[in-house]
Amino acid sequence: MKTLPQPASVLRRSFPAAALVALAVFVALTGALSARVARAETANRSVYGIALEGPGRSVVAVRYQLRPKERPKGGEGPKVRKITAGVAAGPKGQVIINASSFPEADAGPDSVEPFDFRIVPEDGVEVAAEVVGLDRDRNLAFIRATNPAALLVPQVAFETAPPLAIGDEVVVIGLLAEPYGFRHAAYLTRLNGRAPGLRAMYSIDTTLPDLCGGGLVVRPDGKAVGFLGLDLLPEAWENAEPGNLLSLFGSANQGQRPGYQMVYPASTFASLLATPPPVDDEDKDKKGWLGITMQPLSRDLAEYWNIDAPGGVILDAVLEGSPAAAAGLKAGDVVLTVDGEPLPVREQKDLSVVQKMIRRAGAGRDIPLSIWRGGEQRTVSVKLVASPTTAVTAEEYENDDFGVTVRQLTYDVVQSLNLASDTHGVIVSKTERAGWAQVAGLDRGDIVQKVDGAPIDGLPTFKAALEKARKERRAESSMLVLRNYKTRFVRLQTSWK
Amino acid sequence: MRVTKKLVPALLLAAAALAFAPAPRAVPVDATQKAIYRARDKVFPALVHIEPILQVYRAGEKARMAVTGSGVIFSAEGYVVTNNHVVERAEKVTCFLEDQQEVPATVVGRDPETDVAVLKLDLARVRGKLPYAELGDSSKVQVGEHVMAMGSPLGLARSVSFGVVSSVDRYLPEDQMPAGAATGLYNTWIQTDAAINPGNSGGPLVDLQGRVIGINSRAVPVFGENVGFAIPINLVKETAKALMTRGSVPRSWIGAYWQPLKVLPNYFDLRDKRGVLVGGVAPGSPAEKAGLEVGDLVLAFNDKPITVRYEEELPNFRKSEADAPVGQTIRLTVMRKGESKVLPVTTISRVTEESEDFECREWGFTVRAINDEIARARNLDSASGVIVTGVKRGSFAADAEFSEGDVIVTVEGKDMPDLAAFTGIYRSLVDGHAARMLFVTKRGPILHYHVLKPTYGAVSPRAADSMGDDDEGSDPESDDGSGSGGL
Repeated sequence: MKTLPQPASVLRRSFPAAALVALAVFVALTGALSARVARAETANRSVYGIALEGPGRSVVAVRYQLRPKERPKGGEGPKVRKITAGVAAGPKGQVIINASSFPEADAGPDSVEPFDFRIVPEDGVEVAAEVVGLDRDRNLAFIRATNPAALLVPQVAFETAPPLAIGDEVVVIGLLAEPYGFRHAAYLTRLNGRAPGLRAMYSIDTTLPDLCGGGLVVRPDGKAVGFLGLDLLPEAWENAEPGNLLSLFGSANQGQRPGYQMVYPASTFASLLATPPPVDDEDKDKKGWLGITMQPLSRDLAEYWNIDAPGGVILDAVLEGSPAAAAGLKAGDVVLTVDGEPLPVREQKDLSVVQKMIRRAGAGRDIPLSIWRGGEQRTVSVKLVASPTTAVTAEEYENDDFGVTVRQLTYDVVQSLNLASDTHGVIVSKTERAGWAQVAGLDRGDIVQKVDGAPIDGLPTFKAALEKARKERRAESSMLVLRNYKTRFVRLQTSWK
Repeated sequence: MRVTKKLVPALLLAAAALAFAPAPRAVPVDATQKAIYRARDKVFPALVHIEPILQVYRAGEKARMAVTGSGVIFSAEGYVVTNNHVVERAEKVTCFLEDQQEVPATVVGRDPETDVAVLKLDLARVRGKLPYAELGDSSKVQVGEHVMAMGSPLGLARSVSFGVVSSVDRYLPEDQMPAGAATGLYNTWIQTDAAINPGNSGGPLVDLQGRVIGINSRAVPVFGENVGFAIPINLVKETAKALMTRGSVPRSWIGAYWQPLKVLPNYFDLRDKRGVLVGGVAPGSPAEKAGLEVGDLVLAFNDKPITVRYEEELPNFRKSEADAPVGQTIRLTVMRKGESKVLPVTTISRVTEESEDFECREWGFTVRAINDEIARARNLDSASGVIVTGVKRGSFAADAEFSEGDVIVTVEGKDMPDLAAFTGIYRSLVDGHAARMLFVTKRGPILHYHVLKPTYGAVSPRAADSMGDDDEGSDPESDDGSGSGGL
């Protein structure tokens, strides 16, 4: 106790000077900050003011939620709330946001989907909205207020000329966080690099806060010239390998991927605003399919075979009866171009480029592939067909009586489980905890080949057999199950109370 | 055996403390106590503490591992019975007799299916007369009978624990056995509550007449206590005889996966509870060739009626199948859709050549010849060729994306039909310091292309040192037995 007064008095004595210095610093800092977020009413005609008062008014907050695509019983599953910035552009009531804000539409059955979109203008009232367009290539999603007249913000008009260039100074209009009412904030930055690719995309020399992604890029003269995209880095794309069974049984990682802020010049998307590309409704009949499994042509392999190309893919397997087999493609062939376009594929993560190319080419189209086989290059024409059902798109059937969910047995599962290509049955994707199927020892991954003596060749026969058991109120049923390449009978009890 | 190393000093301390305690009062000796002493004196001298040095292949390289186990001498010629899992892959086996003599031993034969192995002591190195134990008759063993387990639990040599027989025909499903230890296909087990711990493996379970009635083999390591299992001595005797006369146990196979009648729906309402159910037929097997189908009921085996209602009855039936001479044509009386027919099936040998790993030391991975067992387990289209069994971290092979389970199709364009072809090309490539090679491997129907780019040359002295330190051979936690339920 005796030693305490001394430091206290020292503190008291030195307080005024220290406090004054601290206060001065504080004042200086807040001064600087308030200058950066200058509001229109301060009549500050700086570049910030011009941007905020002009096109900046079109920047809005967009709230939405993510929920599991596959809903559990008795609810929608755990939901995650999300907020991003967006720009009102195009027809009245339309807002553009980053497409990467929500996960890939076909990321598998464990993936999540966005819903409950709400547009929140700076001072206005929240307006419900729905997705009306999607362009994953350009990383843009288009949402529209269900009542467009209710969205009281001006639609921005983009300037596409002169083109943006490295060194240009721009103002980004983003939002302050929710506790600050999503107020507009302006940030001065400069284009400092251009990403590779045909479509122009510029990096900036500042790291901006999160709620700038989806914001507006304005020239110092007050013209809107671009959109601030948040490009998620592809390195973290998991389950991107073809035929990867993890996507069926594992949980697709929906966590945060590292993102990169990029300026998308208006010239790259202005033409889409009036009629946004429709949301890909998973129209399987239109997507092209080849029937191959592939591996990247690494530098080592290219050097070994002396192939002079920026990349390519090696066919690891060619599925029987597929378009690839019909065109005479063989395992071991190296594909160097698809439809005349070279394949810059060196690593596993680049493979999705090829998948996209083939899917986009579309079913029914003949596409030329240039392939390398045994030291010689040749061109093969392949007629793409619609993709057959895969583990990801396979239909499911859930039976409450037995507490079992099964999926149609698809070619990719047969291939990755190393089963005979004529294996028939349905594959168990889920068993309910303590359900009759689980009690009997049925497990995920089991392939059911017979139910009560009836052969199972797909969901309809399986469903019919279980419904028959219900109709007859069978006290017990029997399933023939393929597990670890051996079949066995499993006796299932049930109750029909 | 980390447990052992930590435990022993503590126990020694405790023992020392007891030594200075006042002498205990004389224990009243009743009939049971007398019997225990007599039985102890009959078997104890024949008890053997075994310290094998195993050569194991793990994570892509060869390593050595010191383990401990138990055994019992059962003949004046110096034959010792123990568990297969104690001496499997043993490079060297040292036995310690009751009088602490250290005697080297050789492995006469091993049978992984029953987990029985026979060793022979080097009699030239034994001083004095060799004691041996009497093997009893396990068919006479009763539930509730007093028994003693003898051996080296946790490496603590010459220990005795006491209890009763809990069950004489315990069935342990083979699919609940640790991977790679498919024991119990042909036998049920004697269950006892006499304490059995890792290190007891191979030691005798002894009745109060001092006869060995079982060989202690496994325990329930996680959830259970006082639940140990011994191989019935009658099976041990039969197996040991085959091992001593021909080095292995002949077994035949027809390729049917049998299931008990109990799995049939409405089993309890079945009027005729006879036969055994065919749950599966291996592709290409004699059973398939003979026309046996999934769902058939086999009512008689060589005209001998069969009934397998419960799982417990499966091992016995499988044994009768295995005991049929290889190449014999068996008459299966089959009931299919209400009609009975007789199918002749010619047995083949089930015994698979044990496949040894080969270490590609210069490249950092291990391979093994594919045998029937590996081909069956992985549904490979051929039971020949070479499969990758391990890849060393940070090795050239790891860089080239090799992984466990890859079947090697070609090396530098040459087919790899067997291990000899592979070791041949390995040696010539290493001798030629090949710096860039193309491997094609296969996983199911999917190929994979690898370029292996090793460098050769002297390892720096420092690197060599650290390699020595990392020697996983002394890693006690990887003792196969301790984590797996085997002892």
